[in-house]
Amino acid sequence: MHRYILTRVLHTIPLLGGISLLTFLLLQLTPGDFLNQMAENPGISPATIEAMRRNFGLDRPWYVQYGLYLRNLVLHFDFGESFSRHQPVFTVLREGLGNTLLLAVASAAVTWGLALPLGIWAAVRQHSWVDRLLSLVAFVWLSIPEILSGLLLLMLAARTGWFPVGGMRSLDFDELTAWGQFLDIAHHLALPALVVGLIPLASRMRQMRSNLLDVLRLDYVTTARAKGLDERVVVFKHALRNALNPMITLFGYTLGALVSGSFIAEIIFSWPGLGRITLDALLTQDQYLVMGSVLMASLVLILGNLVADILLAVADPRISYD
Amino acid sequence: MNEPLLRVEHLVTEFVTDTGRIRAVDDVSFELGAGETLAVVGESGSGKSVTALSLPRLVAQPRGRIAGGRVWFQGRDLLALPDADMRQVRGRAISMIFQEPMTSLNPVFTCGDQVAEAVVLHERLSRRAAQARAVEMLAKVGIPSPEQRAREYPHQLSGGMRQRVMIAMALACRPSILIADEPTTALDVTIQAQILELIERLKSEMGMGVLLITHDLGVVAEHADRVAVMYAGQIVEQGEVASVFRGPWHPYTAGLHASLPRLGVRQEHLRVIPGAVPNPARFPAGCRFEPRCPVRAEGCGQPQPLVSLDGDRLSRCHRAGAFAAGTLDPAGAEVRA
Amino acid sequence: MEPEAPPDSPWRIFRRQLRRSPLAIAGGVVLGLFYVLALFAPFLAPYPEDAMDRERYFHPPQSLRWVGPDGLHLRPFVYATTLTDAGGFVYDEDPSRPQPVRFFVRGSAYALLGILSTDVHLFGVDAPGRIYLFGTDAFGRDVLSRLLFGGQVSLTVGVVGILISFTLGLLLGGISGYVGGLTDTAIMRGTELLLSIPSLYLIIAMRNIIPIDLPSQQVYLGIVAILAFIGWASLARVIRGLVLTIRRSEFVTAAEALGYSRLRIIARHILPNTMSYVIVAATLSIPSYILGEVVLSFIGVGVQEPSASWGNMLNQARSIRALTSFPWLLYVPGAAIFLTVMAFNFLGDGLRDALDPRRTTGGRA
Repeated sequence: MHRYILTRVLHTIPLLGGISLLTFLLLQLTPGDFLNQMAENPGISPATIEAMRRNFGLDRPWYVQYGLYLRNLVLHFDFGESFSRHQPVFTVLREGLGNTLLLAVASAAVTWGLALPLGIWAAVRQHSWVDRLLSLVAFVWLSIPEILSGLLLLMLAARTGWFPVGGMRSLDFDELTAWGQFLDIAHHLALPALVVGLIPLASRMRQMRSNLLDVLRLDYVTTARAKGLDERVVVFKHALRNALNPMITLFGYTLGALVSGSFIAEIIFSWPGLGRITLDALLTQDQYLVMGSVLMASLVLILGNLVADILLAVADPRISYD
Repeated sequence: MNEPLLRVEHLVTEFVTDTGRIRAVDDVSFELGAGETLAVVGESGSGKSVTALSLPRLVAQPRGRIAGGRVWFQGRDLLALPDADMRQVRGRAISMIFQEPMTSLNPVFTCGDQVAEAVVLHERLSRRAAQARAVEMLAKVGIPSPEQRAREYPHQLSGGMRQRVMIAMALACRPSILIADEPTTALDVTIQAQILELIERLKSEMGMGVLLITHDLGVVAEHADRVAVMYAGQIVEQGEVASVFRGPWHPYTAGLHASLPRLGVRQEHLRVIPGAVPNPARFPAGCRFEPRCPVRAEGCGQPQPLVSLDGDRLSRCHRAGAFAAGTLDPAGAEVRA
Repeated sequence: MEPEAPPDSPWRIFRRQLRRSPLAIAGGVVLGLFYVLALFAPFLAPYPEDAMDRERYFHPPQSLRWVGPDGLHLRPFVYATTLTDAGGFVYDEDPSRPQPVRFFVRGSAYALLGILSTDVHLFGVDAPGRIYLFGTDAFGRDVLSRLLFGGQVSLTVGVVGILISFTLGLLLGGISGYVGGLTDTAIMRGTELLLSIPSLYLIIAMRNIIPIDLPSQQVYLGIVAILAFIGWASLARVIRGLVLTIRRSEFVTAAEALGYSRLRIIARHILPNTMSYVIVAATLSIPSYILGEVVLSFIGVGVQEPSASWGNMLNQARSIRALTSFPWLLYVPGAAIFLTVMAFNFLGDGLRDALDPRRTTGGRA
């Protein structure tokens, strides 16, 4: 088991290396660089631009720049400097990542908090009107793109005033008590988490339903009933444990995918997360900020997969990785 | 015989399918006494497994339902019991073991836990006491190093061991009746014998009645006291094993018997019963075996009741009297008078 | 025993299965309709996509009527409107000025299907009247017309993107699975790389390579190329798995024994056996390409103004003001996108059921 984890972790490193190289090359292919906008400003002399260029190391060949970047990254955990914000990249990203993760976790809670009970309910009441209704809703919901649901919920917020229309904190945040601050953030988090969380909901629910139905058909469920166990115990203790196993892998993968999925929600609801920062960074060609951001997002995705695989190995005693 | 443990009267179990309603069990009646083994034998599709599942009311709903009959056990009709009471009966008074031990045990729980679960449920022992009883039971069914095995998962044991675990689980609460649905079909021949002997031994120790479902006549001959032969959802012959096998009183039984290869007899071809089992959605009104019967005659087109000819030997063939008297061979061979 | 009827051809079975799924057929019909509408957009649209009506910003959708103060009209009409509140963009209908809808009117010139020069439009009203069945946007542009022209972009992005990425995915996945060895490892590592980066981040990163101010045709092609570049990876992995299985079939060995080149075997013998999976996957993937373009245009790096796409139409609806006071800016493109995605999903599901081997062989498989 430990060997498995170790090999997987080691495998991640060249993967991240490849990603960083790919991102770097993409940025190099972008015409011009961060200083383009400055160049268009007649108030700044070309000499100053040249000096800045040298200062930022933008005049060196690309492989030299990449080499320097890697060295800083591995030895000093230094992601470089953000040109537009004049701060270390890591500082800028840290807060953004934190906010995105907060949104991702809240969204995951929405997804799983709804998908599991609804899926179980639909399975236990197979073919009833409940089941059919949930199936229909699931199907229709699958077809609503995130942009639309986001804009519709934003419209709801704007018209009813029940939820804030964007941002993470209210204007008077600093004057609130700790509990008040917590509630304020939760209030702002509600709609974006709903938008992101509802995307995978339909398929997770159908998955849960189908897994549980498959397990309920198996022999050991009949054995459990033959022992005289209550139907509820049969479903929740014997059947569910087995039906949930495949979902555990999905959980890890979902967490990673939520980082990508929160991108649109962050834009629509002005949530100050990694997505917003990345977009701004790209539009201003803030090189190191972009790279750090993409690397971080990828790291979350990869870690999510790794956690999923480990959880699965732990949960199912039949699987051994030696 | 003194008062039987279990009396099944006119049991009917149906399934609803796309093609119509199917009677998998059609008017089945029998009794089971303490300390005896009743074998229910038949081909696939004869309804023997459904009969077994019907007794503890484990038939898959809502497609399947018990449509009629009574099952008398300990003074009550099991089919009329409310669900909660039925659950008390299952696992404690009437236990069941199944054909496929690998899939019949939950892969994510240890063997010990699964055996202990029944004990905790029915006898309300503490976890510790239940675990101890589980180890006791594992030892009793002949599993070596039972403490170790109790901590292991089903997939870590061999097929024979798993079936022993199933038996331990079923007998942990000392039931009065054990229903064994083809318990050895999925096992090697040598293990088969061990398992069946184990069941016999435990039966006499605990004074249980055993209902043994099988398609294997050899198993019936070796391990059963009485036998009920099923065909197309009905019992066609019933009686003590020795006398039924010595002289069957139904053409189907005779056909089954004749199709067994015999030691010491040279045979060019194995004897088979020609034809196939009828479509359950469209049973004929008269005898269901008639199209394949070597001695069919007038009167076979009428519905055939199960009649008693000699004590508790029963047959559903109206020519059984001739078979009993020896003037007609149910296998269709010439009778030398 | 009755003689067995000859088995049906796969095509017959497919058609029969498909007919069992009314939703799939409905989806197909809707999509067919949308694509036809997009094809004839310049004819169907009363106005060009960038024509600004400076007197009617944020005009609400007008209702088609048949009954006026003077009774039933033979011809449908709309009322002219007057601006009653300039700041709030409130328009009132003027019942004294009905404008009958005329058909096959002359309007702005265009090239029908790209070849036929004409200036005939399906419907319109007499000048100086205007007909805005879906209202106007912030620049006074007819939403219906922009919807139709935008459909040309948004609907075709998916199809073109799929063609490119699936060709890539099939070839690379096929080669990877068949040839094995280092090539296989290299290609699979490549897909793993692509799949480890959250898709939107990668899309945005790639979009930046293309300068913002290219002519819209080239921007369009660039966007399609980007989406396709992301899209081939997961298909390639699945195809590789399928190929590994098919490779062991006897007909492949037979082809090898005949001395066919590897590429020929892959392309002509193995890949056609993956078709049923590919068709379903393609149908179900097109929505994500369409949505990719919509997202890019929404955040401003896709199709640029004044060209229309459903994505940049949604961008118009983004402000709080638009959401509260001018909701048609969201509803119209939103409904179009939603219906398109749902139609593809219905169609894809229906195709999948129809092509499922367990169904087609009647359970004999």
